[in-house]
Amino acid sequence: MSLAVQQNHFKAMSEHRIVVGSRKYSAVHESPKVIAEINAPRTSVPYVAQRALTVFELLKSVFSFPAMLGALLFVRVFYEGRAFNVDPDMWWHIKVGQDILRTHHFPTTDAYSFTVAGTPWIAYEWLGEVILGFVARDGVLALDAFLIALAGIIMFALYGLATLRSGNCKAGFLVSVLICSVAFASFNMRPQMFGYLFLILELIALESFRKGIRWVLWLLPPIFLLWVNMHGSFIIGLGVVAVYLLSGLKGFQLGSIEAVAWSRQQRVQLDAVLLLCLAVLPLTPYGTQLAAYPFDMAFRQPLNTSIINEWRPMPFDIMGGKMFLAFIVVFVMLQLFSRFTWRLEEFVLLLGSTVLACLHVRFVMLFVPFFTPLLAAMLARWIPPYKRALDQYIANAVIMAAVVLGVTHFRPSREFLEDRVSDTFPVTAAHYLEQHPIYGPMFNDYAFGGYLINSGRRVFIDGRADIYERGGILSDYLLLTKLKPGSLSILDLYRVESCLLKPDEALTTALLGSPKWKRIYGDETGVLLVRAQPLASPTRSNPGP
Amino acid sequence: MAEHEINRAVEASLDSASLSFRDLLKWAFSFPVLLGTVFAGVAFCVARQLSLDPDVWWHLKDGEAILATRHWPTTDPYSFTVHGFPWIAFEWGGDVTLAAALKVGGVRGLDILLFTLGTAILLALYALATISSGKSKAGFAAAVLLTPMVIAQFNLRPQMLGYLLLVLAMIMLVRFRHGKPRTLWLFPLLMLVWINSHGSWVIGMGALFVYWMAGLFEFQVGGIEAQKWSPTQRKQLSLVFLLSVVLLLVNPYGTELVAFPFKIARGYQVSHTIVNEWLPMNFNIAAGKVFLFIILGFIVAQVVYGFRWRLEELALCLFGVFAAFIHLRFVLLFVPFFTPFLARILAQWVPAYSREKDKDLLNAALMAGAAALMVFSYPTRADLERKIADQFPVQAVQYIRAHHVPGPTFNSYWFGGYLLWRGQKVFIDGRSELYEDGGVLQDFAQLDYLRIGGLDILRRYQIQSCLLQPDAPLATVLAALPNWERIYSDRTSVLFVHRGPWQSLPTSLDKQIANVASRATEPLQSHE
Repeated sequence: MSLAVQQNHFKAMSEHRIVVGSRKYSAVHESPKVIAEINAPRTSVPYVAQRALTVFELLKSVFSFPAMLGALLFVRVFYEGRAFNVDPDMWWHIKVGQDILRTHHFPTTDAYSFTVAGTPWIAYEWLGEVILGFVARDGVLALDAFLIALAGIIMFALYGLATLRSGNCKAGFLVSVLICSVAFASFNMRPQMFGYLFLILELIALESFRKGIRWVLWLLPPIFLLWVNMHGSFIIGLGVVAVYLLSGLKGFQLGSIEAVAWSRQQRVQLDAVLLLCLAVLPLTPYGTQLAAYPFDMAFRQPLNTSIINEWRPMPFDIMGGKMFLAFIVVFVMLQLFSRFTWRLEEFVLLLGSTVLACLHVRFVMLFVPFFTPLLAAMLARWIPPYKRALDQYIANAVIMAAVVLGVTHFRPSREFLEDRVSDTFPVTAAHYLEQHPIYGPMFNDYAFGGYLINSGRRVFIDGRADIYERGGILSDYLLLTKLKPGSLSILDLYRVESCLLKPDEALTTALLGSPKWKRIYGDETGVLLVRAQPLASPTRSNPGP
Repeated sequence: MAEHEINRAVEASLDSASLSFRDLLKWAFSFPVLLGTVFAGVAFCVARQLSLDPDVWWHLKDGEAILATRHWPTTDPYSFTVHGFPWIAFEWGGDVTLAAALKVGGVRGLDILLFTLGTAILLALYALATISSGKSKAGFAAAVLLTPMVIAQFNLRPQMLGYLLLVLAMIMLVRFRHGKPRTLWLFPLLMLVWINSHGSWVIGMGALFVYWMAGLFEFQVGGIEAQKWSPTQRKQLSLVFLLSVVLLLVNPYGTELVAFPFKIARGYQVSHTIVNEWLPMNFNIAAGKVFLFIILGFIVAQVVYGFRWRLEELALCLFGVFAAFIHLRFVLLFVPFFTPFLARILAQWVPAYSREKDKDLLNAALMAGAAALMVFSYPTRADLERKIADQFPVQAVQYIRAHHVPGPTFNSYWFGGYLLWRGQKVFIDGRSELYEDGGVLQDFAQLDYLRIGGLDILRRYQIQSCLLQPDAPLATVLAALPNWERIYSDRTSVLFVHRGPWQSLPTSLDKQIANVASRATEPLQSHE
C-alpha cells in the first residue's frame, strides 16, 4: 500500500474512530445510525475553531450541551475542592515560593531546618512554588479558590481528552464524573497539580496528532519548559512521547492490539518535538540538576519511597482503592464482552500506569489520564452521541447560571477554611509558641513540619524527605517514631528540648508516661511537651525564627 | 497420541478391571509424575524452615483438649480477659489433626504434617491445572507460576486443610464440566470433612452454587460463554448441593458452626485492620509482585489472544481476584480459581506430553534421588526445636515458671498462642474475633499502638508483668519508665515486671477488670 493510500486510509480510519471509539469499521457496512454519527458536526473545540465564528455561534458553543456538561463536572470538582483537604507539604512549598519572590534568589542550601541546615538542596518545583506563594498572599480563601480553579481546569482537560478519544461528549462526561473520586486522591495544593495538568494537555496534543492535527504537537516543547520547572513528573511526559514514537515505528495487529505506523513526516515531527523537549530541560535556574532529580528520587531514596504514605502500595481497604479496583474489573469485563481494539501506545501506557498505581498510590495520577479516555471509548458504543440539532441552549444557559449561583452561594467562608486548617495543623500550638518561646531545638511530627516552616520556625523534619534521607535524619525520625529499642536517646542526641506531636501518636503516649517530659500545651491537633529538666540553659537562643 | 487422549486412556484403563501392574508402574514413573515430584521438593523446602504461624499453638492446645476430654469447648478456658465468654472450636477437625500429629511424632510429626499437606495442595493444583488444560506441561507451568503465592500461605493451621479441600472441590467441578460426573458424588463427603475443619467450606458451597447457576443459561457474548446443563447434570448438581447442605449440620455444634463464617463476614472491624492477613494485598512483598504480574499478564493475554471463558469459571476467578486484592489471606481463593485460566493460556504455547519419548527409568531414578535427598536432609528434632525457639518465647516461659513472675501478664499478640499452649493464661492470642467480641482487642490495640491513654490499659487490667517482642514500641516505653523493670531478655522476647502497687480502682467497670485480673492466677493444665 503506497504512502498516500496509507495516509488516506489512516485518515479515514481516524474519522471513523472519532465517533465510534477504537473499533475498526468500514463505512460501507455501517448502520445508518453510525453513518449519521460520522456525518454529524464535529463537537470538539479545535474543529469548531476551523470555521469562521459569529458571535451568535460563539454563544451557541458557550451554551452548548457539552459545555453544560462541563459546568456540571465543575460542580463535582467544587464539591470536593471546597472541603479544602490540605496536604502538609503545601506550607513549605508556599514558604519557598514566597522566599523566592521576596529575595529573587533560588535556594541552593537548606534554610528551614536545624538538622540539615546548610546542606545542598534545590527548589526543584520552584515555579509551582512561586505561583503558590503568590496566591497564598491573599490567604486561605485565595488558596482554596485556586485549588478549585486548577482542579476544574484539570478535570475539564480530562473531559476534553475523553471526548476527543471517544468522539462522544456524554461518554467523556460520564467517565470524568465517575473517575473524580479516584482523581481527587491526588488533588491537593501542591505543584504536582501542574504536572497533572501538563500530562493531560500532552495526551490531548498526542491524541490530536494521531487524528491528523499536526500543529498541536509543537506546543509540547513550551509545555515541557514549564513542566521541568514545576514538577518532576516531566520525566513521565518524556516517557509518554517516547512510547508514542516507538509504538508507531511499525504497523501490525496482534489480537485486539493494533500498532498504527507513523508516516515519515509524522515520525520526523515526533523526533523533532522529542529532541526539542529534551533540549529545554536544562533551561532552569539549576541547569541540568533539576532534570536529574527524578532519577535521584527513583534510585537513591529507598527510605522515602518505602515509608512515605503516598509512596506506599494502593490501599485496597479504603473506598478509593476499591473504586480503582472496580474500574480495572469493569475494563476487563467490557473487554471480554466486546473485544475492543486498542492502539499499542494507549494499551502500554494503561498497563504501565496500572502497575505503578498498584505499587505506589501516588501514581494514580498517571492511571487516571491514561484510563479515562479508554473507558470513554468503550462506553461510547452504548451511549448515544450528542446531536447539535437537538440542543437546548436556553436550558443549558439556565443550568450553567444555576451552577454559577450555586458555587457563589456555597463557596466556603474564610472561617470555615481556617477551621479546616486548624483541624489538621498546629495553628493554636504555633500561636502558643510565639507567646511562650521555648529555648532549644524542637522535635516535630513529620506532618507539622511544613506548617512550622511557614510559621517561621526551624524544624527537625518536614515533607522534603529527600534532603532528610540524605542527611540520615529520616532514619532517626523513623526509629524514634516507631519506638525502636533505645530510640528515645535520639532526643538526647539532638539536644531536643521540646516536642510538638500529634495527640494520638505512640511517641506522644511514651513521653507523656515518662517523668522526664511534661505536657505544657495540648489541643485536638497537637501536643507540646518539654523536658522536665532542660538540657540547655535559658540563655541559649532558640534556633527558630 | 494427544495428551488429553493419553489421560483418557489412562483413566479408562484405571477404570477397567484389566489394568496391569506394568501399566501402573509406567504411569507412576511417567514424566508428568516426575514433574509432580518437583512440588514435593518445594513443599519439603518450605517444611524444612518450619516457619510457624503463631496461631498453630492454640489450635494444638484446643486439639489436645478435645482428644483428652472428648469434649468440645463452648466457652473460653485459655485467657484471663475473656474467660468464660462463649467460644466454639470452629476448626476442631483441623485442631485434632494437628494435635494427633504432635502426639504421634512430636515436633517432627508436625513438620511431616506440614510437608504432607503442602505437597498435597501443590499436587492438587497441578492436577487441577492439567485437567483444565489437557496438558501436563501447561499444568505444571501454571502451578509453578502460582507456587510463590501458594507457599506464602503455607503454615500449620487448619486453613491448609481448607485450601486442599477447595482445590479438590474445584477438580470435581471441572471434571463434572468435562463430562465425568462420578467424582462429584464425593462432594458431600468433602463438605462433611470441610465443615468440621475450616470455615472456608462456605467458599466450596459457593463454587458449587455458581457452577449450578451458570449452567442455567446458554449464550455466548464476546469472550464469555455459558453452557447449559443437561437435565441429568442439573439434577445431579441439585442433589449434591442438597446432600452437602444436610451434611453441614453433622458437626458437634450444629447450626452454630454453619453460621460462623457469616458472622466473620459481617465484619470484625478491629481484627480486619490490625491482623496482618486481613490487610489488603501488599505489593511490597514477593508474593504481591507475583500476583500483580500474573493479573496483568492475564489481561495482556486476554487482549491479545481473545480467549473464551465459561461463565462459572470467570465468575469465580473475578471473585478470587477481588477478594485477594481486598484481603491478603484470600490469595487462598484466588489461586484455585485462577489456576484453570492460567493453565489454558499457557497451553497455547506449551507442547503436549509425548508418551513415546518418555524415559521411565530415568524418571524413576530422578524421583528416587529426590526422595533420598529429602530423607537425608530432613531436619533433626533439635533443628526444629531451635527454629521454634527463634520465633517463640520458649526460654522466657521457662524463666517465668522458675521465678514465679507475678501475673496477670500482658503478652504480645504473636506470643499468645504459644503461651496458652504452655499453660499460661493469656491477655490475648490469635482468636481475634473472640477478643473483639469481648472488647479486649480494642484495648490491646490501644495499648500496643500506644494510642491516647494506652498505658492506662495496664492499670485497668492490673497488669503485673509484660512479655513482649524486643522491638515492640511498648518495650521501649516500659524500659524508660521507673515503675517497670526488665528482668529477662533474649533474642525473642523481653519480660518486664511492675514495681509497686497500682492505684485503687474507682469505677465498677474497673472492678470487673480486677476480677478478670484475679482469674489470671488460676493455673491451667500446663504442657511440658
